[in-house]
Amino acid sequence: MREIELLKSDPGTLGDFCGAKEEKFVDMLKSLKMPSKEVEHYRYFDMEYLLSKNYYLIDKKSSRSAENSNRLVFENGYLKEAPKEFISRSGFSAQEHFDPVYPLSHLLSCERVSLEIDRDVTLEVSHVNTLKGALGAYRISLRIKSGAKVLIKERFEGEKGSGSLILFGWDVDIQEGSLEFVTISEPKSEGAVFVGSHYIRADKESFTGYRSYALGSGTVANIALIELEKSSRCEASHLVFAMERASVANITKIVHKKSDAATRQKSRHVLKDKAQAVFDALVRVEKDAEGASVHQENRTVLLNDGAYMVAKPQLEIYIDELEASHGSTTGQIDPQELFYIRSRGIEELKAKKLIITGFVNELIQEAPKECIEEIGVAFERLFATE
Amino acid sequence: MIKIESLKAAIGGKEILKGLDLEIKKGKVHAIMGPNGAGKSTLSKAITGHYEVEITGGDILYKGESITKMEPELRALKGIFMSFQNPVEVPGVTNAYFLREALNAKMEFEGKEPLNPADFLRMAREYCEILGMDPKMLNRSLNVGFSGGEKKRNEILQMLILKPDFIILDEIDSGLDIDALKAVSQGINRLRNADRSFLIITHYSRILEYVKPDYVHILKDGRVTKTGDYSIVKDIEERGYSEIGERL
Ligand SMILES: Nc1ncnc2c1ncn2[C@@H]1O[C@H](COP(=O)(O)OP(=O)(O)OP(=O)(O)O)[C@@H](O)[C@H]1O
Ligand SMILES: [Mg+2]
Repeated sequence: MREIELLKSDPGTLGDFCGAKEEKFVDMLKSLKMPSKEVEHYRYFDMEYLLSKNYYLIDKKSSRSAENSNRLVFENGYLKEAPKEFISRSGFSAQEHFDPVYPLSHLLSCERVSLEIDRDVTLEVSHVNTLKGALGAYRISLRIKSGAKVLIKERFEGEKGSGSLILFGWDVDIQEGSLEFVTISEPKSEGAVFVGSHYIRADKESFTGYRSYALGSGTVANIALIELEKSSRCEASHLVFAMERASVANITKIVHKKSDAATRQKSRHVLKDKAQAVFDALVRVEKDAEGASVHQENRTVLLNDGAYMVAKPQLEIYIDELEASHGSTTGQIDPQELFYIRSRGIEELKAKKLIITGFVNELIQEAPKECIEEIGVAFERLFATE
Repeated sequence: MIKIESLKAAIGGKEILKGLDLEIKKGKVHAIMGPNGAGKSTLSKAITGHYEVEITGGDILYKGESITKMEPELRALKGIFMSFQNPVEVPGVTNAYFLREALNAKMEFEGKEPLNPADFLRMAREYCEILGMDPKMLNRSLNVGFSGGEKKRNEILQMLILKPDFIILDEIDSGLDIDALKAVSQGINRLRNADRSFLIITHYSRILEYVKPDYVHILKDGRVTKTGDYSIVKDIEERGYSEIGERL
């Protein structure tokens, strides 16, 4: 393993460093500037700090074969298990992306997996890291065809991987079909940091559910660029329940490329202790995207003074008429609600829990039914640590 | 049941209750009437331990014990219940779940086994029927989008399920149509017995025709200015509060 300090490296030399000259990613990285506070959406999520640490780069190794399985498992930067039936040989291409971590993870990736799915399936994906101080990067590409309904359920395990940074991401092309992409993380303060940067292209009449659930005390970022073609629909939901010194970022850019596409994006944040979160969500409706419908909403509850929320739901519209709504609120637990519940004999802590559970329930219930229980359990688990 | 002795209470630094005395007897129904802003809701908030109310003097004894420093949930567990003048909405928490949590908290407090969900639901549905409530309301978020009348019925549903010992009904009759008023009154009468006491706060005699009070009090400017039987209600209706006050 070799040491790497990303911020001190020139993108060009990074390419060399990785043993592969990927001009495209290098150029992209240069044009986007390495992730720093100069990048607007990193002003409140300390990507720069994460990249300024010293890591050991997990090396590219030549041949390694993954076990056949019905799951997709990455362990310490490498593919460990994969469903052979879906592995495809098609090549990998990176897209233009607003986020500098995206080309960076492409550039550094030591593992690239291509999948092609043409039938209804639930794919569980597990990201495991047990190395300390390591930098891992890998990418997954997925093509959905033949009207298939695909559910991706992504989980993370990084408790033992303190000081590690895992840059990974998906490049999804929904050609004909639908995707439910559910990412559930329980980041721990001493655990590895997973940063997912994704690109999803939703072809005409497709459906995309992009749902992130972050429940914990550590650092995690979910970044996505989603492009919507004609009559496609996107539902994005983000639930954050963070405590201690957690830092959680949900950064999305949803672009309506063509007409009659619909976006509905909802987020709920509950922040405690010194937790901070950023919800930076841009929906852009391009000039060819008439008949767009866009609804964006964020609600945040801060449980104490030290918690900090930056919510930036934004609309950027290049058409004359559309159906849109847009809002964001931040507040505390309503004392009237709290008193009402306590006055029925429910003790204060339980009453607060009831209110918070109610607050987040809507988003939990929106998850595909296969995931609801798991998210509920993660939520309970975090509550129990209080 | 309840003995209130020269109670002084303030909201936001403003004194609202100014030395109020009131005794509520076991098994009796007391009604309180009085002009807007007299302090009726403040009194019920003081009894239930609302965070806005600051007790600045006097005492409230419940079953012989001073409760002014007790947490609201403990007061509830010991049998005090108030139906809110304006019940709040709690999004995302279903009515049924909330009711069961409340009931189980009480059962646990009394050292009893919690009710299983099926039995609970059967009971809740039965009470809904008595109150003319659609049982579907049990699956909706607590009070969210309920009409004024539905909220009031829902308060009575909670009362029926929790079967408290001392029940304050703060304007339970306001905004109810005649059918709802009958249903709500039926719910109240159902719980009436020799051990339970009620304090009904109202502006109208109508509910008191369905739920006959044993005593009627007039609360004015932070004090109980008159106590008597049902005949006071007629006096108020005929002459208004100002004249009655002047006679004292
Ligand atoms: N949160 C508050 N802040 C300031 N003043 C308050 C507050 N709550 C109540 N008050 C004041 O306290 C006084 C008594 O109010 P209370 O609600 O007890 O009256 P009430 O007798 O119940 O009247 P109504 O018949 O209109 O319900 C009023 O003057 C009211 O304005
Ligand atoms: Mg009142």
